[in-house]
Amino acid sequence: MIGAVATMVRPPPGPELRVLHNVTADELIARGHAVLERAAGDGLDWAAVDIAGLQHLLDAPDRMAIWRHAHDLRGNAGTFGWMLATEVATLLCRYIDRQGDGSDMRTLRALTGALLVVFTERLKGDGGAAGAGLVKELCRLPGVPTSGSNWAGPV
Amino acid sequence: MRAAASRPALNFAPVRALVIDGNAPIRRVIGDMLRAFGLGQVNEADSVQRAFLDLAVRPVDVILLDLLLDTSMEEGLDLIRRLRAQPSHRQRCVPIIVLSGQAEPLAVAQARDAGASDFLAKPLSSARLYQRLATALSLQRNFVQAPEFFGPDRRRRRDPHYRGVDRRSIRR
Repeated sequence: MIGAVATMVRPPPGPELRVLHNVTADELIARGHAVLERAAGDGLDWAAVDIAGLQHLLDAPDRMAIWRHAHDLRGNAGTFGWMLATEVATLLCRYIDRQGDGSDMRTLRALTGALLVVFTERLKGDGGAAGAGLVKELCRLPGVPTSGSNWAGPV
Repeated sequence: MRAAASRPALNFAPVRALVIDGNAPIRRVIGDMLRAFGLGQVNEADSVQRAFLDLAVRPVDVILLDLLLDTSMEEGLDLIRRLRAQPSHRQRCVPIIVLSGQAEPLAVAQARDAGASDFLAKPLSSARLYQRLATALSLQRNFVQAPEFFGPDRRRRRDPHYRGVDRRSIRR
């Protein structure tokens, strides 16, 4: 709510944008999409650090460190066509968000291990029947939220 | 109203951008997408420190920032607050588009309260990135200067005939 103490500031003008007469927005968007398609075929470079981090944490789960890696994977996996990885990483993040200090180590290991399996078994896309089965099993673990989020940041 | 995608493309050649993301492959992909859109200059930084160093010598017209930069999302939010808090910084009013895998209302509100101009949830799509970029650069808003906030004015024009709930305020 703007009160008497607030003032408006006009920013300096940005670059003047004109339109291109021989190119549509559709075409530029297609060029951007082609970049994503090419990157999706480039292996798992984008996930290497997070995968290695999670593997390291499997024996000695650190809730906050797991959350950071899972959050990174959650956001980036879908961009490269790894939707199942996004789904499993989301379950992991939401579990940690909700359970906080009460996170069960076995459940953390199970969720973390499942996320790693998605990559080691190359379950790209939605993972098909194997992916659906994996998610179903994970959602049976105690405390794993199946929908919605009450995210308030990692606790 | 024509959908954005069927309109003539904007000429982004005069635009300079800074992409800030700690994940190098992702940073590269975002940068390549911006170059595919025709941006004239795309710089990259992997940390808050490098971002500020870069901005000091290479001013830009838009910043794309991943909130989870190093070890926490506070790094990204802190960058926005620091930039907005410096009255003499020449990049103080630059549009900042936040990219994040966390799209819950609280995350969006935190980015907004820090002074972000827009929020784009991951996974990325070329269409949404293009649209956010076009909006940020062609519809520049005034900024609100208040004792504890400096950021884009997100208020819509007041409709004197509207009698509904004011949904613009969020109780926290």
